[in-house]
Amino acid sequence: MTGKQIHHGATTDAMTEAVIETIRQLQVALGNARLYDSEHPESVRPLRDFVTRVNDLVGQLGPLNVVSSFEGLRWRGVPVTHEGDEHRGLGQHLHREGIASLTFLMGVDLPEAARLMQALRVNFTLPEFEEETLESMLWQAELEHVQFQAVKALMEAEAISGRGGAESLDQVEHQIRQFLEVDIHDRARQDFSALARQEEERAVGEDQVRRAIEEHDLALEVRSELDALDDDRFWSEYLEHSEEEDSAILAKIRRQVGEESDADMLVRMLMFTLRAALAQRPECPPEVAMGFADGIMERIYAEGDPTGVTRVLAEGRRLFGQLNQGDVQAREFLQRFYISALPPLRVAGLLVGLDFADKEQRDAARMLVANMPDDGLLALLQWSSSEDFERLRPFYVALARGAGKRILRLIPDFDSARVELLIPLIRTLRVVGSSRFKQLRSQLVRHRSLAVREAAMTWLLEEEGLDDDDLPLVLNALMGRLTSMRRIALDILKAKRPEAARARITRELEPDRFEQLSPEQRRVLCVALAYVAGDRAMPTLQRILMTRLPFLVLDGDPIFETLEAAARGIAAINSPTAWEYLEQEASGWPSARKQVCQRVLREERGSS
Amino acid sequence: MTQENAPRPISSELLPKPKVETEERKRRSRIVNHARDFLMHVGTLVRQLRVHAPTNNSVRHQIETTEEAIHSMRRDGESISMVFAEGHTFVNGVWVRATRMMWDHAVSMTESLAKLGSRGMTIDPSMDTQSLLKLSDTLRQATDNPNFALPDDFQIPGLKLIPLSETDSIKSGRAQVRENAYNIVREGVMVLSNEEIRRLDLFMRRRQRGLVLRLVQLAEESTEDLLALTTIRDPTLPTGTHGLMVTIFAIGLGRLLGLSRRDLVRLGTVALNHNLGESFIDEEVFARPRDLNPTERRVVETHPLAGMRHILHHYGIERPMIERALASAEHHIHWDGKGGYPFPTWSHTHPFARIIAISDEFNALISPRPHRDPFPPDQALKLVVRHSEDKLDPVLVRSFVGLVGRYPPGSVVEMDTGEWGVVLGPGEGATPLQRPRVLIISDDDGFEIDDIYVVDLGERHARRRAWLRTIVRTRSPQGLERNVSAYLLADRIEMPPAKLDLDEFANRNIEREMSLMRVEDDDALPSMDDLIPDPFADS
Repeated sequence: MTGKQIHHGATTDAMTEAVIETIRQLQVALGNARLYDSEHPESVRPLRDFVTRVNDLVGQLGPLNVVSSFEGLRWRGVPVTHEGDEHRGLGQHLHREGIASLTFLMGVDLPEAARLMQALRVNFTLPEFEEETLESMLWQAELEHVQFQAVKALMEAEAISGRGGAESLDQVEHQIRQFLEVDIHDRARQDFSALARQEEERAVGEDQVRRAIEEHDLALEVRSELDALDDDRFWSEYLEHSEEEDSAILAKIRRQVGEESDADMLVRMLMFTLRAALAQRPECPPEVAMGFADGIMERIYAEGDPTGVTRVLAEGRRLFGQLNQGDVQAREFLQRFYISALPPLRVAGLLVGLDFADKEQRDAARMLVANMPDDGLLALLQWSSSEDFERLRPFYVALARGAGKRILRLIPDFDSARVELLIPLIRTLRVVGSSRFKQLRSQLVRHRSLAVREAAMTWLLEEEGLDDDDLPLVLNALMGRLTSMRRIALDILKAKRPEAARARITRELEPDRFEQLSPEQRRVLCVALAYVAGDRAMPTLQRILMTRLPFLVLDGDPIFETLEAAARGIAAINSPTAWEYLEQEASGWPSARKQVCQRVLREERGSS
Repeated sequence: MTQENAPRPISSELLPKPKVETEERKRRSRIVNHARDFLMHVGTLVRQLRVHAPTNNSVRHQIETTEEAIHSMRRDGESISMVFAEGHTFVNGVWVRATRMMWDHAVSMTESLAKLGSRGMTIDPSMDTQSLLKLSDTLRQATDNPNFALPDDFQIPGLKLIPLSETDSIKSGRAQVRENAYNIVREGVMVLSNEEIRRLDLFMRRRQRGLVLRLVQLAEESTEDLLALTTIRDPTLPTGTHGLMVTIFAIGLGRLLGLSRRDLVRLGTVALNHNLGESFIDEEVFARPRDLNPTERRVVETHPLAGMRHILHHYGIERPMIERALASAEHHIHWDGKGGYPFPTWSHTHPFARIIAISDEFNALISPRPHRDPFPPDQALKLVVRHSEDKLDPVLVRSFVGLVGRYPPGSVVEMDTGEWGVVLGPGEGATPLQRPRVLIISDDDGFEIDDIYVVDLGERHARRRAWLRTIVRTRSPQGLERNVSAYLLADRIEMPPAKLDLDEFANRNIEREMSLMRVEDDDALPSMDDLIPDPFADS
């Protein structure tokens, strides 16, 4: 929008244009702040632009004062915004919210502008009846270089309208005025020295001190110590101390107060209500306190902050420690709450949403699973079995670190265990990446359930290499009957390329054995040999490719599949020699070999 | 103890019945809508009456429409208070977001009512057509006729005009400080009265927030003036004043600690409500002029949890409510969690609860109770310091002493000159907490003076290095004929600092060291009689 548009055709000078552009930038920043969070580049960029512009402008013009009205914002009486309605227009909004003007001074920086944005953004999106006003929010934002002027007397008008004509306060109001506004010239002067004499006669009595002591849980010997405090040296030392040693503690208090999150507060409240329930006080009976605790726990989950839940656990442990050992009832009560407070699906939901790059959240996740009851842990395992492994990988890391040993203890017998538990178990062990579980893996690779065997075989992909114990498992799977296992084995060989497998595979490709394999097995073995032997597989694969062909080979003849297995093996070598060889055969003779090589080249070269 | 005077036990029957929040919200919305309709219709009616006679069809039609709006109000049967301020409209304490058209009507209404000496009106559902016409016509006349004056016997059945308040007139200097103090205390008494303290609906929360904002603003302007408010101590004032005083001390301490404005507002808001649970205890328990018996003590000790329960039960578990509930629940637990009530063992309490505990303790000691006189502030401070090792946070107690000084504001002190004074707050010398700023209220014979003035006890004689004044003892404020707060807020003369000669400048460092020396050292110095300058010499 240009200044000319705002002025409806009137001429505008350069300064007005600059103000219009600056305020427009402020509106853009506000619009983006309402859509994105404060850290988002789309929020930061226009705000930074605004800060630059406004400082430039203030440098030229002096303080920039814009006045709100139902027509929008005005600068020196000239409209500088064009606003359709009060929901989008900043000027109208400020006007309606009781902010008469904003003044920008030199030195507005990005954090300050962000605080201004935050106050405006929150106010824009607040429902109609809320505790905060824009004035109170702007004031609390502690803006050094952005001044605002609120419409005067709003607060008082609000108070008056709320009284509804109540007259019960009139007496008190009169009384307060009397206390505050006594005219000290209105009567004879008081003689304080006479007062002193009277006072000495009615000095503070021992009984008063005793009552005060009782009122405030003081020890009875305090009276004598009070006299000692009269010593001026005591006060000097006492007051000096405060400046020297207390500053670190006070800074900590400031931080604790200033950085307190909603989760912190909810956790504190929850622990207090639990403690109240345990105390069984009539003014807040256990059932009432537990009702609050359940509601607060719901809120903690709704906040979606796992550290909140973990703090509940940590604090619970502390509370548990405070309980008397003999107080079985209280201990059981607390345990029951914790079992009900950690429903597996909720915990799972929290864990999945974690940012595992953040150490605090990683620790929180580990603690969460560590504190799950056994039943809950098994339910959590079962839930995860049907989810995608890669998506849940961080979850399994947390599971392994927090409850790995316990899971193994809970599933002692693999043969009788349910598949839905074994698969997550395998995934959990898999992410640990430790060779300590090799024995378990060999058991699981031979499990009666194919799904378990597949999962266990896939686990080998995580290993650094393949040792002598694992290789036979892979080769057995490669040469086995099950297609899915063969494919996993092939993936493993591709990833690990174990030299030791070459001899065994080459042996399988000897003509006498080769003849007995299915076309698919042949292909897999040829490719596997290529993976483990590289160029050294060429002679074997060339031999198969050069198999003598019948005079007349029709398309679909089984010999085509043999040729193709060899050609794909050569392609899988993926070396210049291998490709050159395939190209040579693709332009050679006979026609069947030529066709196969051409097809393989077409299909594999791109992918390689 | 007989059955009759046994304290009423806390039971769920005593707690107010829960309200359904959504219904309350709907009702509030309805009332606001009625008010909006009323304002728009009356505004239109006034405009029509400018050009048409009341018998005109369009006027009659408008009257009918307005009557419908009043009829809707009747169904809810609630009075509606509307106050207008510069185009803003408040309905029963709730600020109403205005549309453009409503804004225009509100501006006109503000101007017309101002000419009637009013800033708003309370409409009773019983208001009838005649009253409506009379109101509209009066508003029209007030707008159109510059010489219009409201007759003395002006009355409209079903309608009450809210007069322009005294605060609409501009005051300055100490008068403005007094006015501000009055508004704060009045507001505090209102929101913390026994009738209102349990109410934490939106209206009350906004009022509480408004009050706290004022206090924090005052703290920023002048801590002395803020703390002067805590000297209004009178047994005849409603109990709510204790909550207000605790809030003032808490805000003062929070500010000294360097809390942000946002956190100060949080602290002030929770401090206001910290004793909410006491409203469930029979007032007689607190009124007994003797020690509490064990049963009564147990009843008193129910108030932290009763307050927490009330807040969470009726107002939910939103953050502002949780903060209030926690402060209510924790403020009598010892800071390290090892003692106090409702639980003898707990963790370290929240800083807000610790700040409130110190403020609560100090204010309780300096306040009169049925069984005892108030402790002089310096004595009370000693008791608080004594507690700092077990019950109260020692670091925060030291900070509290830093806020109020060894002689807290309101302390009545007698000086070695024979003068009496009232302590305003820490001074500006090298030992500000031990040598405060004092309002001198008597001459050296102990007779009250007319023109009270402020001195800083950190001042020394220019050449002889002796303190100009030193406190020799404190006196109970009880004996004064006036409330201490009246002195602190009264017009006064600020003494200019004594002029320093060159020697003084040269020896400044020595002076600072000397100021840390014990008072006895000063005893050897020359008598004060010939050192005191004429207090009005430079004024």
